[in-house]
Amino acid sequence: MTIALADDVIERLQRLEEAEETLRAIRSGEIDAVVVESPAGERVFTLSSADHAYRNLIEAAQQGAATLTSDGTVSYCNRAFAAFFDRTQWDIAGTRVTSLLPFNQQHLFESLLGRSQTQNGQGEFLLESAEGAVQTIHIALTPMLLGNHPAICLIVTDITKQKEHQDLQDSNRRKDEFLAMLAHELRNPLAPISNAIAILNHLMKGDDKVAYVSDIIDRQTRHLSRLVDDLLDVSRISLGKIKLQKERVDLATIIARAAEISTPLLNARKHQLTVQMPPTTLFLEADGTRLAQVISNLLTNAAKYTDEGGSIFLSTAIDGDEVVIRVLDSGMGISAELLPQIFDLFIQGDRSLARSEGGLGIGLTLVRRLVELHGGTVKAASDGLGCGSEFTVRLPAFPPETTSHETAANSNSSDKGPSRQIMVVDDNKDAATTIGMLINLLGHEVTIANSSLEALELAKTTQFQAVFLDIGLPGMNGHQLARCLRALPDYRNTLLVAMTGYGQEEDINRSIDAGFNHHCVKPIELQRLSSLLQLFPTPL
Amino acid sequence: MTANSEDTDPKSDIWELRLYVAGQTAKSVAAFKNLQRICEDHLTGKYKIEVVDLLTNPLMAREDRIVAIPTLVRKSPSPSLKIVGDLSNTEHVLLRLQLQPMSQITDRKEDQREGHSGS
Repeated sequence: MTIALADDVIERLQRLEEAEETLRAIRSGEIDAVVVESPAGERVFTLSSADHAYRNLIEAAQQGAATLTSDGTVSYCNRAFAAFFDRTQWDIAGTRVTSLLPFNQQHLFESLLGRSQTQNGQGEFLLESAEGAVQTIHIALTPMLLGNHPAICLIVTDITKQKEHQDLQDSNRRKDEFLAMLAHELRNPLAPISNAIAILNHLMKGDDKVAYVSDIIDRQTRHLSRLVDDLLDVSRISLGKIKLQKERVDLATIIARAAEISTPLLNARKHQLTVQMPPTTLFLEADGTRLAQVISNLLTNAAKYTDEGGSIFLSTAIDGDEVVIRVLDSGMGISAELLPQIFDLFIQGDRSLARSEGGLGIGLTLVRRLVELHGGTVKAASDGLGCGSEFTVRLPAFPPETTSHETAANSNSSDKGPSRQIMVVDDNKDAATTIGMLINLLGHEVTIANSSLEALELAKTTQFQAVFLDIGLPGMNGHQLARCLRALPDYRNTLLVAMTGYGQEEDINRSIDAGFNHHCVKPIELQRLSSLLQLFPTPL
Repeated sequence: MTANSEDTDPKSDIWELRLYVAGQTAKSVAAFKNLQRICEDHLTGKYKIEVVDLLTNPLMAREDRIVAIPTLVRKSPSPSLKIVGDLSNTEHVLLRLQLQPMSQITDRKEDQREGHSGS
């Protein structure tokens, strides 16, 4: 009796032990087949075919994967997971994930774990290897059920590279923003300087020494303005902020403007510029200022890379529904290696000849970008070094129309017209005074206001025919002031000109919305001022 | 070599081992290789391995109440005992087969436990 009982106990203990052993083997992943008893007899089911694909997938993954109990203990992990923590899979099973992380990251993980019992959670953590290399990892936790028990699926990804890339992108963007701000800040003092030179020139006419010195200041200021403008443009391009103010423009006007911009450099290098205008008037749907910039950049580029006394040809033609503008030079040409990247940012040819003209290597980048914004293309061609270069711009043509009142009516008039009453509003007294003096030089009477309120008061007592407004006025800004002026019956048709450091599309649109006729980016040159003042709306 | 002489059948010094497999599954093959290696290392010249393929003869599972494959059954020396799995954890196999001196076994156990909690 007792022996039988003892045998029974031993038998039961043995079975229990076997069951434990079986469980251990299953947990360790040491079995790949099971025997199932059925009425028809024992059947063997191999597990390899069933979970082979999943297991291989998980084991081959670069991401670390683990299943955790709800308190964050690893019940299973793949090889990659173990590798993240420099352990073996055996080592890690039964360990709390928290203890695998550096001390300063543990609190963060615990709170993530707490949140991830019922919902997906993710976070970034820093691991430091024994050699001191820091690795950024992303951990995603997903609640799930293992059998009937709540568990958590953990996926860990190495994002060190992405993080570095992101950091680089961020700092690149900050650099672009800084450049944009820098350029904008640099431009502000340039306006009064160039105004002052114009005044000086006018006042000291005939004095050779003054003329010589002011010529230097003038050239250098223009150079500086151009660099600053390019810098501003290129940073806007990098930030994707450049937008066009498109309207119907006459190509001849644009080319004339571009030639005018490039004339100082062309003259300085004693180049001969030959312009072949289109036989008929060609209209484009374009941003006139930007298009002039494109052409003048091409002319400037040709002037820089051509030996003194060279020839530059600018020709225009119509080809199907495209306007073709070609700039050809007899200069140093472009090597076959450089040709494919000639439009890339900061790419420059050998500048030993052109060093004195400087530049940042962004002119052609601007050209391509601006042409593309216009829906056109630009191509560079050269037979090699010493063979000259040819740049071809193709732009969609605007269907020809006969009525072109404004451009046609005003392009040829060069007389100053009658004297007018003009008000300049700018809280920067230097800027206001110098602009005022320039306008004065053009033969008009100028009144200066240094605040919006002062301007409004003056506007009520004097009927001005034109008002030049700074946008960045303290208190009531230029836009608000323009609206107030337009609301006055006497100022409905008055010429209102906005003056600002900002020339982006949204700025221009805001000015137009506010009722301005023109939006000028500082510094405003004498010629621009003169042509603006010729565009007076005809008096009622 | 055999640590436990009390239960060893004095008539025969030969270990009779039976390995239950299911065809050529990876774990079955691994278990066979591991078993051979362990026997060569610890039971040189006094063991016999019988491999039972349950895919060809599933009813054989009944005799030793096999539920998972691979499973090793020590038929002799008695008492018979089972080790489930691919026998890749050599220490575990030796421990169960009691193929090591007790002192060493105790040390090993402590090592293992320490290794675990320390990680």
